[in-house]
Amino acid sequence: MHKSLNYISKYFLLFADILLIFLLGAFKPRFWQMTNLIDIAATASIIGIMGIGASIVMMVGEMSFGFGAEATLIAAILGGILGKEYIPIYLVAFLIAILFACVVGVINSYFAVILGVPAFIATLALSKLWDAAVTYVNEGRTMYYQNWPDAFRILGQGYIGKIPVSVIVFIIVAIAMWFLVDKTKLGSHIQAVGNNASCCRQMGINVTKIKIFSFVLCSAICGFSGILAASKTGSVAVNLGSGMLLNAIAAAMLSATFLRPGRYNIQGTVAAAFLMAIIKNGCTFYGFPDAVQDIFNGVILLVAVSYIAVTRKEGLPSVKVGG
Amino acid sequence: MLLSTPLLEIKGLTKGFTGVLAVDHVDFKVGRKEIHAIIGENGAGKSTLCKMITGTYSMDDGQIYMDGKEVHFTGPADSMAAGIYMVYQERNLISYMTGAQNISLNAEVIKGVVVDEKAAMEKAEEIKRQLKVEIPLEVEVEKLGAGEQQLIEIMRAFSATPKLLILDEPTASLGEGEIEPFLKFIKGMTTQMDVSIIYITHKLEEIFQIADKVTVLTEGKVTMTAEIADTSQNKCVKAMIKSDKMKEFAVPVKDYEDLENNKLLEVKNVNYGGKTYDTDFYICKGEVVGFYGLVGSGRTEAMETIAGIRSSDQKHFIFDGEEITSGDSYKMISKGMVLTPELRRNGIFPALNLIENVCSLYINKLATKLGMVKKKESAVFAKTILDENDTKYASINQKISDLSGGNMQKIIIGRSIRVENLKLLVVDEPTAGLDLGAKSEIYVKIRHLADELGKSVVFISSELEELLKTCDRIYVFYNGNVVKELKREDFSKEVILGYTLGGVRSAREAHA
Repeated sequence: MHKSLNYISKYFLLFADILLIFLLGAFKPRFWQMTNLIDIAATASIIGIMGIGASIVMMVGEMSFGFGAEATLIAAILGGILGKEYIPIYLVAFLIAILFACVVGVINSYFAVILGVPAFIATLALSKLWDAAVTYVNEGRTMYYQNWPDAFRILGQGYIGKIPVSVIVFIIVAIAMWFLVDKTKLGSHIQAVGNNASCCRQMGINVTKIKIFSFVLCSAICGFSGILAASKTGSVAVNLGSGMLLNAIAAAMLSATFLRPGRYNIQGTVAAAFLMAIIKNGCTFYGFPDAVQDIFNGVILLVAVSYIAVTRKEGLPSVKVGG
Repeated sequence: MLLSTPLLEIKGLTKGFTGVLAVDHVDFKVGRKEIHAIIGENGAGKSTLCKMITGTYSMDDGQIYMDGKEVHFTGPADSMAAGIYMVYQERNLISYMTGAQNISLNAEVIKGVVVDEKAAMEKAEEIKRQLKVEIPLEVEVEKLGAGEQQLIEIMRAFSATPKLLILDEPTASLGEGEIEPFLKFIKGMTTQMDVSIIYITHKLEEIFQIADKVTVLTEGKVTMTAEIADTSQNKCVKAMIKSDKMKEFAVPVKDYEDLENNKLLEVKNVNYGGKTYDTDFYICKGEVVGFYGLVGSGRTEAMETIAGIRSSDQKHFIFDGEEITSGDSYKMISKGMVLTPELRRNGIFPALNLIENVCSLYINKLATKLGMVKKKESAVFAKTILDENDTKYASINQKISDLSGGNMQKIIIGRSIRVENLKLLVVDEPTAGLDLGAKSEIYVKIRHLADELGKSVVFISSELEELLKTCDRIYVFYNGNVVKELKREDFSKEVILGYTLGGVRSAREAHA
């Protein structure tokens, strides 16, 4: 491939972000207003955090469809223990909810890694259980408690100066995960396992442990994204997380076109989350029907995976192409 | 620690898979700074033996001693810690990592919590100096050649202090020019460093160049252990092959004029991938015709196009007196032409059992009118074919992927030749990866088809020797075109190799 072309494809996501912001604003300059751009960042932060969780599990060569249901479940657990005042202190309740998320990760990895059920099927089946639990506890309605402490809303609705707390949290999570994945031994092994697990086993790397860790970390992050989303809407809808599922998977998939073609990476997930947030915001801003947004997202995901299928013969760690 | 204690000693090592002993009470010793070759045919148990030494496989029985002390390895991590490192036949690298990163994999230098890339590079450079090799270390290994990738794996062993290197068929992935320097490098390693090598191979020439000792494995048992100076290639071959396994055959002298009155297939040119190639050839009834050429020379592509497996913009050839201009593989099979694919895995259904694999070609015959498979008939039919072809199997319900390559090939060919009204069988690389005994069985089968049953066979192969031995005529392919035809009486290795490398213009000019 020509060098400059290579460069364009490597940074395509970033160019697309900038180009879309430019185009959308060109017809309605109000799109460029600071409040709107900040709103885009806030939307990107929720998709992006779940996307980062998804990338971690995809990096080890597994696939999960449980991100959404897990997010809803964890948000409902936090909302429930706070609302019913089992534990009135937000931070403690928060930690307990995240601990539950880790348990969900352990359950996922029990089926996917220990028993060897294909992970996307195991997580799909488990996600039905989480959905059922939430529906049962909420009695099919959206969860809302008057007595939720103010802290419940800070993550999603609070501001530090002019910057939403969610955006700051997103930056922290992204930097922490980028550091873990790209700089530490553990992160290097996570990526290596996805590339060639048998080689890792030969080199004495405990592939099982690495995979379990990734599932647990993924569930914790996805659970956190659920808490964030619930905090933003001030309620826990039954479909809170499932609405974000495809966007999160798409963000992680798209990351494999960015920077290091063929390999998922945090930087790309962040750029892709922004792309989807811009599309979402733009569609609302221009008053397009919801279908338009779905078409955009679907087409972008198809183009991205097709690009990978064509340029990378061996496919992606979690989506093997061919036999 | 006495110097006379062998570095590695194994006693009575045994391992069975589904009732068959892959390694059967094997004893042997590896001395210090020694290159110990293990030779044997495919399936003789060489790799299984070594995987037990590294702890990748558990053993059913036996003991392993390192430096005179008994060891129990539960995995490669244990054996690596003890200084044993195995380089597999298939590459075991992280493709996107650089050479230096691969060498440091799981032996990373950590600065604080961060992986120290600079230290990894320095370490790799140090190993490079120590081994006196030339290789780029800052390039992703996926961009390196097979030989270089293998070198990276060997270098990886030296990120610790290896005492014993196990190399599994290391020259299998090397090109012609790479083997000689590689052997020198291996020999140099043991003379300059305190390291021993177990060298698994089936290439006898190599062991006489570098090995100090040789152990021959046959069907899981040691049939010979000798100092290299006390043995010969002939003795090794005798130890490797039980004489009753080699099948003999003769190629009858053919009357070509008579044959040419009975042409089965006539082809002027073939078209695939948007191009038309000049492939002037014919196949007569009752003859075995070899197709020789480099990989990609069009020998496979031409026959796949004719068999209807490869798509073609325009087709035109004569098969059994009939002009054929279209049709897929199903049509050609019903006309009596069957092709067994170049890649064995494309000829089997790995997850299905032997019955299903054998009967796959006969699904219509073995089904009721409503499309239900007749189970009993299928099993009986499958068993007949398996027995006719001397296939070794434990149960007719076992998965085909559990069988050895030779037995799989017997099933693929065996089911193909039972096709009703078979006229032409095309076998593409049928002997790839098979041992000498199994190869000879395939040759006998091919000759039997032509000589006794009067069928025609196209034998595509990269091994010129086997074509010279079994064929009545040979066509040489170059760049998609047929560039030479030779009858058996004119067979000449030099001429064929000359045409293979494109030494002579085109078929027509050569004929003129």
